[in-house]
Amino acid sequence: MKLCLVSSRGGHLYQLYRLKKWWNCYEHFWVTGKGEDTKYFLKNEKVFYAHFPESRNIVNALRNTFLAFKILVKEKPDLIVSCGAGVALPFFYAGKIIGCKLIFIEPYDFVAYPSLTGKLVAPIVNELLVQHSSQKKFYKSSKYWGKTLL
Amino acid sequence: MGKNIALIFVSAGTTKFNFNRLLKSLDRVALELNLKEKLIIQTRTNSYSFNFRNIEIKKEFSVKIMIKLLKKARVVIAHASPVIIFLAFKYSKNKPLVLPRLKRFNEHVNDHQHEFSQFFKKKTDNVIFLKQDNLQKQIRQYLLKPQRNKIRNNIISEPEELVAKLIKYTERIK
Repeated sequence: MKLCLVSSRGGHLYQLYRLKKWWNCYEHFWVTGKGEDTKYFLKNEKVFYAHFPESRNIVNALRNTFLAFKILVKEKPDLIVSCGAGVALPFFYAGKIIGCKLIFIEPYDFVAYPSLTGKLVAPIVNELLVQHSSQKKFYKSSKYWGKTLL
Repeated sequence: MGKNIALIFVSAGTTKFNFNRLLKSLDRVALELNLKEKLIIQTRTNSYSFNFRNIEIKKEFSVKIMIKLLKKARVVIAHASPVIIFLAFKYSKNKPLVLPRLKRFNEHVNDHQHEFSQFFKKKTDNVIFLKQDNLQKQIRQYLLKPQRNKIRNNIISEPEELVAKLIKYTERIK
């Protein structure tokens, strides 16, 4: 079982990092951006760096799509997981084509409407997890399995 | 970092959007109060020119230093990110003062920070969310009289439920 953990920096990374007792059970690697937070939390981890900024950025989305195929074909993860943000999109779609299973975790701060990334990956994921049960109404077959934070 | 520097720590996150609206209000309050403390500001984008002199502005700090700043600061002021709020709950002396970024001021892509604040203030009173009007007055009042962090050292538990369900899932698909 090999995991691919895709994350933007900051809060998204921290939320995914909070699930260490799970992802550390398996062989895994990260795809994220360079920064102080990634340097600290992912110090001894296997990390690939994607192109940022990714928020509403078509050029980087395309670059990340090529990068996604390159990494995923080489690493062959069984499961790709992300808690946002937009960097997840090309990796999830590439992953789907390659045959990886996909779990998207809606970030903790989405409470009144679905995230854009969530909406875009919802049609193709195996599991879409929300962190507040009130978020379930925005995604047809989403599940609430608990929270990463409080 | 010196042992006894009195400081206010401001965190605007890793997002590329500016937060000049908060910085401007802060600048005015610091001058108005003739603040004796240093303002240490973490902001990825900085296009505001402070008049208050006792400041340090950095795009980001190492995590170790950021935790030190959270612990040392008399007051922590932040944008409405659940993670910085969570870290302030863990480490800071007083309840964090939080201003949600708003789309109409080009501070973020949408208003999820505002929506999150509305949701979160119903869950806990351990964070002070600033109302969007009269920022200066609210910031001044809080700097003069902050409220004690009630959660500190009563640490928030691990996400056991979510971890257990994820393990169950991966074991099933192995």
